[in-house]
Amino acid sequence: MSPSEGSPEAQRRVLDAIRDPWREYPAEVAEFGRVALDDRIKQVASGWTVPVITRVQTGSASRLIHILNSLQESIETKSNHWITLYLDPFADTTKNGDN
Amino acid sequence: MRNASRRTSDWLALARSGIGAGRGLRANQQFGRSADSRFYFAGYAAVHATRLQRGSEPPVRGNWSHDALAEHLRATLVARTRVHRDRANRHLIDIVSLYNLRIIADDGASETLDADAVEQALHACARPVSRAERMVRG
Repeated sequence: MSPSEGSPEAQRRVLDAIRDPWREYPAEVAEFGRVALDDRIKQVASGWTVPVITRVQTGSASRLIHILNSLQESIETKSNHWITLYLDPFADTTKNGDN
Repeated sequence: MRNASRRTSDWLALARSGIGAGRGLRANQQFGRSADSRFYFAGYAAVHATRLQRGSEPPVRGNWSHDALAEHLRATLVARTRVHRDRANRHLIDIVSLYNLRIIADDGASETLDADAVEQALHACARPVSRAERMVRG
C-alpha cells in the first residue's frame, strides 16, 4: 500500500473504495444499520480514518466489532488504502449516508 | 498540556495499571463495561509507550487523539521498526477493536456487552501491553 496524499481527489478515491466492500456485506451492514460519515473522513499518517455510526444498537458488541474488522480488512485489501473504521460517539445518528 | 511531559515509563506504568484494573473489574460481570474501558486505556497507554520508545514525537498536548492513534501506530510499526505489514495490521486491529468496544461500553449504547466482548478486550489489550513491555526492555 502506498501513502495517500490528502487531496480532494485522494479523498474521493477513498470514498469510492469504501462503497464497494460495504455493499458486499448487505446483511451484516443492515444488522446494525451502519453508516460511514463521508464528510468526516480524514487522512492520518499514511492512512485514512472513517467514522461510522450504528443506527441499530440491539445486537452483540463482539459481533459488531467482528463485522467492522471484516469490512475494514476487505476495504484495505481491495483499495490499496489503509483505512480505520471507528465508531463515532459524537456523530448525529439521524444523519443520512449512502453507504 | 497535562500529559506533555509523560515519558515512556510513565505510559507503561499507566498501561500496567489499566490492565490490572480491568482484570479486577472483569471478575464481576456487572462491571464488564468498566473493564472494557480500562482495557482500552491500557492499550492506549501501551501504544504511547511503543511510539515514544521508537522515537515518534507526540503532539504538543502530549498524547495522540483517540481516533487517530491506530493509524499512527501502524505507520510507526511499518516505518520505524520494519514490522511486516500483516503484523502491523493485526496490531492496528487490536487497538481499533479496543477503541470501538470502549465506545460501546462508555457511550451507553445498548449493544450487548457480553462476557465474550470483555474477553475480546482483554486479549486485544494484553498484546499491545506485552509488546510495549518487550520494546522498553529492549
